[in-house]
Amino acid sequence: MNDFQIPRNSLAWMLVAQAGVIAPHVWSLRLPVWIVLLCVGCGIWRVMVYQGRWTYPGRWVRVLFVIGGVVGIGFGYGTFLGVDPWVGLVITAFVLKLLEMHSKRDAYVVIILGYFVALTEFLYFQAIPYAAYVLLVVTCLTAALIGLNQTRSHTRPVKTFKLAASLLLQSVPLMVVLFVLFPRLAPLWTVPIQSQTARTGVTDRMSPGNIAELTQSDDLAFRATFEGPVPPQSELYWRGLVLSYFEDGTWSQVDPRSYGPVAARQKRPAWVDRIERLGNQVRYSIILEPTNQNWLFSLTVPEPVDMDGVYLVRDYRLVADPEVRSRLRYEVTSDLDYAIDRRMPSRLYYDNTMLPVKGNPKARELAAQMRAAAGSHRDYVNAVLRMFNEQEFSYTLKPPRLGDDTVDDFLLGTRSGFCEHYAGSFTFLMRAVGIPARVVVGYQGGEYNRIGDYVAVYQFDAHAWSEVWLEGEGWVRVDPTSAVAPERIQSGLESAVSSGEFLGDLTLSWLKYRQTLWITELRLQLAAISHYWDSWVVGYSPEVQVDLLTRLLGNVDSKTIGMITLGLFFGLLGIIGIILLRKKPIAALSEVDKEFLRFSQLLAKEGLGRRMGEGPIDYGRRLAAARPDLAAVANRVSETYVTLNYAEDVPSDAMALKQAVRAFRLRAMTTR
Amino acid sequence: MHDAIAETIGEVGSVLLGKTHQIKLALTCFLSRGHLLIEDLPGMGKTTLAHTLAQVLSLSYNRIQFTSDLLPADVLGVSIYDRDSGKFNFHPGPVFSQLVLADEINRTTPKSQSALLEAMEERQVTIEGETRPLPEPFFVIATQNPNTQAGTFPLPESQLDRFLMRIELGYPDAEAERMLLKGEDRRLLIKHVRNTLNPAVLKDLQDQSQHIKVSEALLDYVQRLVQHTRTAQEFAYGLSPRGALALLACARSWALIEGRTHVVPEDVQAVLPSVVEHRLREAADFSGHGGAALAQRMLSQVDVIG
Repeated sequence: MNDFQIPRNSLAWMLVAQAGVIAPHVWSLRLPVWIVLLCVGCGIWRVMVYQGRWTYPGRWVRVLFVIGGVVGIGFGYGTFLGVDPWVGLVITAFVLKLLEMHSKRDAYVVIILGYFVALTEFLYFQAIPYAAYVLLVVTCLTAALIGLNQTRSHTRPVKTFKLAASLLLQSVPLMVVLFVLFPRLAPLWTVPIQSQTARTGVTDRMSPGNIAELTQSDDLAFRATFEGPVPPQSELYWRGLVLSYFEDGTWSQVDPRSYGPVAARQKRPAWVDRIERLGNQVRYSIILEPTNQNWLFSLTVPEPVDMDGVYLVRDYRLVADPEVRSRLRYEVTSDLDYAIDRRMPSRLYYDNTMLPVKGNPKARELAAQMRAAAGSHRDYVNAVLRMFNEQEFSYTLKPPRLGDDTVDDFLLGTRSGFCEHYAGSFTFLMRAVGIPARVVVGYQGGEYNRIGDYVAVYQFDAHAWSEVWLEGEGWVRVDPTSAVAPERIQSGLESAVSSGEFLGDLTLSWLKYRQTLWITELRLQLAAISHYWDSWVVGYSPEVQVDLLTRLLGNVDSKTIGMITLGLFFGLLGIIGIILLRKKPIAALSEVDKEFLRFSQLLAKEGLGRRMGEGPIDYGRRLAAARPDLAAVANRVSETYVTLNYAEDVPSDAMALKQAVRAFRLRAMTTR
Repeated sequence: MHDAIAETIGEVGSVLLGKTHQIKLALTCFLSRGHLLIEDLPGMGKTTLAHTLAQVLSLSYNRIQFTSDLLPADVLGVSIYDRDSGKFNFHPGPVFSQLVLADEINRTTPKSQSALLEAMEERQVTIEGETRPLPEPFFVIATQNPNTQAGTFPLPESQLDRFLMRIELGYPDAEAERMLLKGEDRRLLIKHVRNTLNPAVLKDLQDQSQHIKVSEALLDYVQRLVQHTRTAQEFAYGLSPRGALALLACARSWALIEGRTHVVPEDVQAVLPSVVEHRLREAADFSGHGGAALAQRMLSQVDVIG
């Protein structure tokens, strides 16, 4: 144990950085309270050690701390699986190491560990404010690193911080180059991260009330960027799930794989080619926020996506395998005009007309009456929509509770509900008379951000509608909500519900103030910046990298990128090196000096080069002593050099020295 | 002329054994019209060197032993009333000689120290309103015990600067020591030392030293050295212009002693430690023991060609 005392500047910045690194974890309540207390305690102990009041803990105390830490984390989190306990473990180790800083090396370990812990913040959040914060913390860490190498006479921490900041600032160009060009390697293994930002969004079960709940959230669901003009709001039906099984008032999905093979990157089953694409094609890319679910959103009817792990399934929607655990970007081509399943397989027909044997008798009766009155299936559909429109149905986010026979209660009782009530009961009415129908869940509409040129879809845009199969037409989208509240489809939820209902529980949401112009403007600006950040920085995946570089440089693969990066890096280093090497000596050196340097470099190969600071006469003597056979010629060189360089104001000409060096070479060659 | 110098060195070397380099440095100091500070433990031959030098250079010699109760008047001299003539007669102090050995200068109080140091700088003494010139040539060899020894008043940097050079004698090597042990009493030897130079020749040599050639390349080297002390982190402060001038003057004298008509880098390197060590301080060294190691590092870090 030596008596290394960490410089004041370094310790100060180390503690500041440590607090800064741990703070976000504390703030988001990821750390058990005892770890927080441990951090504070270790910090205080370290300061006391620095002031010489306390001593370092003994070996057994440290062992106790380590065992206690590991056991505490085991109990505190209840598991060692997942990211949280490991982050907790790293932080515990990080603060405990403070009490073991006996040498400079230990201090280095603490600081390097600090960089690592700073990185763990990105496991949870990747937005710009967090990145800026981590950058600040990294500057503090760098200041600690600098402080460690300053003498004790440097007592101004602010100066050290400024130095660190300017160092980091200088490294920005390199950082940008590396970020853009450095090959993005796939990790060797992955840890399942239960991202806290993942919102479930729409689920694969729909019962009255659960979409209305979703509309209380202003979280972002996804963002879509269109190539070309954005289709009108009423066309933006983002299909996510198809629910065709009804039981106990709840609609749920049938495994789509049971209907036939899925279309993947290399696989194109026959049903895909049977889709009749009738034009109005749009291309768009979607950045989906993590959902921890496997369904993706697209406009009907999408082409299979050219991407690993994304499939087009039989009910014409996209799914991901595995689930979307982090932000996912995918590109889709959809035809908005289409005809699908003009000839329907019997299995599908059967599934989409099935109803429970019992329940909702009044609704069944109503359906039978209305179908009898209508001339065709088409007329019947219109009659039901007319009923929603003309009778006393109302659209509300706070529907009253329904009894066991949900459809009966809604159609003939409460008559006020949200989209899932209308979509559910409409589909029921269709099936009751044998028309194939199903519920589709997803989002409708979205907010166009003209600054970032994308459509932002929020959780409150969640929606449910129906699809009906009509002879000769195939599946047709029918949205009963549009019959009740057309403004919901035209201009979004906010205009369709009463003012108190929209995001009623969120008083501080930006989105509530869409009427105030400057707030909207500011919000759109920030959202656009955040969008660029997500798509170009956080979402800078290997695919995006190859794509960007292909656009810049032509056809490339990751190997080429690697070569270019290395080439640029070493090329740049080489150029800087050459400049540094050539700059000083060549500019100031006279011919005589150069000749003499060449002479000594020649001898350096044999280990007889001139040493730093060695005078020419001393050098000549050393040469003569090392190689007595060359003593005479070596002396002649050094004497000539001395005469030329020091006996005159400015050396007159280098010829004499050149001759002496030539004589030396000749002699050296003949004696070898 | 050069023979006379070589002879002088040989003559002094016969008394002070195995210290040729230090003798040459002392002579360099004289040829550059500077004063010499010898810092070493008692009994290393400081007095012997001074006394022998006075002898071979045919200079009048006086020794002042500095003690803690020494007064300025003991150094400079005092006027005493003469009853016969009814006048005050000035009795010059020991400083009025061509070579003054100020022994253990750091044992006395700053007041008496500065009496001598002022005389060194001005080469004259003013007592009771009357200015009296000191003899020509005038040299001071001061000896100093290491600062760490008891009962010392360390000289401040500003006064150390008055000395052109500071040297250490060091222990003799085994061979020299053997000869010393076998040989006669040094004090007796000094009496038999020949006069090889005289003040006139010395003055001539001093003039010659000033005309030794210094090329542009050499000035570059000197400037690089000086610049290094001002920019490198390890120095508490850099070398002053006076320090740079001192370095060049000493290098010239050294070249003259070596029998050259021009200065070469080796001359600068030979005198540099003695000239700069007492003028520099390491940044990490708060107590200020000078920069012996610094000078060596400096020589290996600043290249001759550059």
